[in-house]
Amino acid sequence: MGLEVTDVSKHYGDVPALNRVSLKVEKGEFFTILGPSGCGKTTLLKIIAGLELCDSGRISIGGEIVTKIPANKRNVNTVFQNYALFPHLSVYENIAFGLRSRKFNRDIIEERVGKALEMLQLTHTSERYPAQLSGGQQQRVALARALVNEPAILLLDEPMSALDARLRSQVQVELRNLQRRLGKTFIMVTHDQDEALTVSDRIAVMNLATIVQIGTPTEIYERPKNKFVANFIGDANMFEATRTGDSGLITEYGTLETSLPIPWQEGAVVIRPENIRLHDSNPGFNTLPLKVRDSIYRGDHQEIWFEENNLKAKTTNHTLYRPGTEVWLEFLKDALVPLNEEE
Amino acid sequence: MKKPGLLLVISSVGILLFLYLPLMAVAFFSVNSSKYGLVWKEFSFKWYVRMIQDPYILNAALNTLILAVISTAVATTLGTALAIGMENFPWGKRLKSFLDSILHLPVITPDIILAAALVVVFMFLRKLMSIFEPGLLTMTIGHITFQIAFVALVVRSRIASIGHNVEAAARDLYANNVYLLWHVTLPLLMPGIIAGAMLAFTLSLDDFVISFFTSGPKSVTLPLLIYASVRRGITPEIHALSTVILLLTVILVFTFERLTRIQNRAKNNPAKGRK
Repeated sequence: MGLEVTDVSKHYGDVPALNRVSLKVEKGEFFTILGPSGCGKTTLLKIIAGLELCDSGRISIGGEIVTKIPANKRNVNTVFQNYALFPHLSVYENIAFGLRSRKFNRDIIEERVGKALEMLQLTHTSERYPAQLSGGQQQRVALARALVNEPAILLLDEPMSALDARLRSQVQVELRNLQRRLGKTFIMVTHDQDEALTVSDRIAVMNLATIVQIGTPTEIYERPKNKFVANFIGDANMFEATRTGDSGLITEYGTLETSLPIPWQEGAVVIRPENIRLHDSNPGFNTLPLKVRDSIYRGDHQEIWFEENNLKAKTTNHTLYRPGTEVWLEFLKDALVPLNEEE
Repeated sequence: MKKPGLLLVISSVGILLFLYLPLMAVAFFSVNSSKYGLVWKEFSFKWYVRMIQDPYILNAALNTLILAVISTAVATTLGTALAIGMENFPWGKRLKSFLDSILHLPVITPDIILAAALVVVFMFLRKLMSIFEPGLLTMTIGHITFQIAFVALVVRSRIASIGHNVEAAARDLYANNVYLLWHVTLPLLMPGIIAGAMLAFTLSLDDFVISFFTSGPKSVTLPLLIYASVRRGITPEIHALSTVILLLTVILVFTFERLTRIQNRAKNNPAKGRK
């Protein structure tokens, strides 16, 4: 067992930051906590790190209960947002900090820091100071500074937020590879859904101090549980529906069929824009003719909006869809997802 | 570049003269060998030589230095502790902002009021213990009372520029309180602490009001000596002495400025944690 969070709550004054949050992270897993700002995700990370203590609930790491143990006695290290490197210490001294503060013997410190420098390609920068490093190098120092302590769990608080967009996608892949190579448990907090989908084994989506859904990136993207998840991750067409029979849905687009279980009589369904296929003539099943309102060329795909209902489709067709053209839309049956009732 | 208007030039020069002419006059007469009047005779350092041979002046200089060094050392320690303590203040926002505002009080209180208050306090304390007879001790305590606030304010602004993230990182990396203070907090605050100490030192060096009210017959400092001498008629030695004090203050103020600038540059350091 890597980490177990049970029923953890935290309030700042009257404002709840976490409301009975529970989750389990397996050893060696890359787990991401994803949510908008102010949803409590950073608070949860701080509580796992021991930098804040929860009001109620239980935290256990590797089977040991650590709820009341402060950060400097937990076998967990953090890569902070904006890295929080020590500006008065060199790269070497930054990385050695956690070993020196525990009075490790000099030889061990030298060996382990040397290895960490090498692993993150920082050897040539060891004498420099944080202000003299690029953003990517600073991030690697922050990683090395945490990993050199061989923590049971590595926590990452928005580790990409200070990098520019181009570097970000490259670093995401590197981070993922590093985690695989080390086989260590990584828990990352982010508000960036692309990042979460790219790196994670599993994702916990948070909103308003609670966890809304936990699942693999595929589950989260393809089977969102509610409106919040569907909207927060990726694009979504959402509309009301009434159930008819076992798999029929009466909607404003006519009666559609889904192959997924429908848990209600009246509720909402969601379909991703790429799961609406476009045809010139009626293919015959789960279809609807609509007029094109607007289309946007995106290079590898195009986005098409349809009149009246703001329905959006994505296609890799190279057909030019002019506004006013009538197109047949096909709603893929196994991608039409009935959402759970909103709370 | 546009040529500055005549009016602007005249007014600028006028203001600068207004500010610096008196000081320049003092420096000017300190190297004039004529003892009386405003007549220039010849260039000479003899008043400086005579100044450093005058036992009263030397004694006052020594007193000033002892007073400034001790009060600055104590005030810097206490002021830094106060600033760190207030930053990590755990007892609620209201009490914290209250403390914040009373911290500014010694800065804006007129010296004369503080001095009068100290006289009353020492009068009371004297009844309990004889060490509170007016003298260097009471003066030192007096100086510390107003220095603490200045040190604390300078150090606090430095703390604010560092942010909390670095401290959290140190805790995350197994630092206990002592290790954190010694290896992270104090080194990062050092420019602020030094700047605060220099400010306090300068304030003590040229303080007259508090010193005047708390001094005893044997604890004459340079400002007090100058005051006493001026009442008897200004001598060129006093000019020399004033010039020396002025130069010292200028050097201190310049160093203070520089340190503050270093501090501001650290503020723009991209590696700094921010929340």
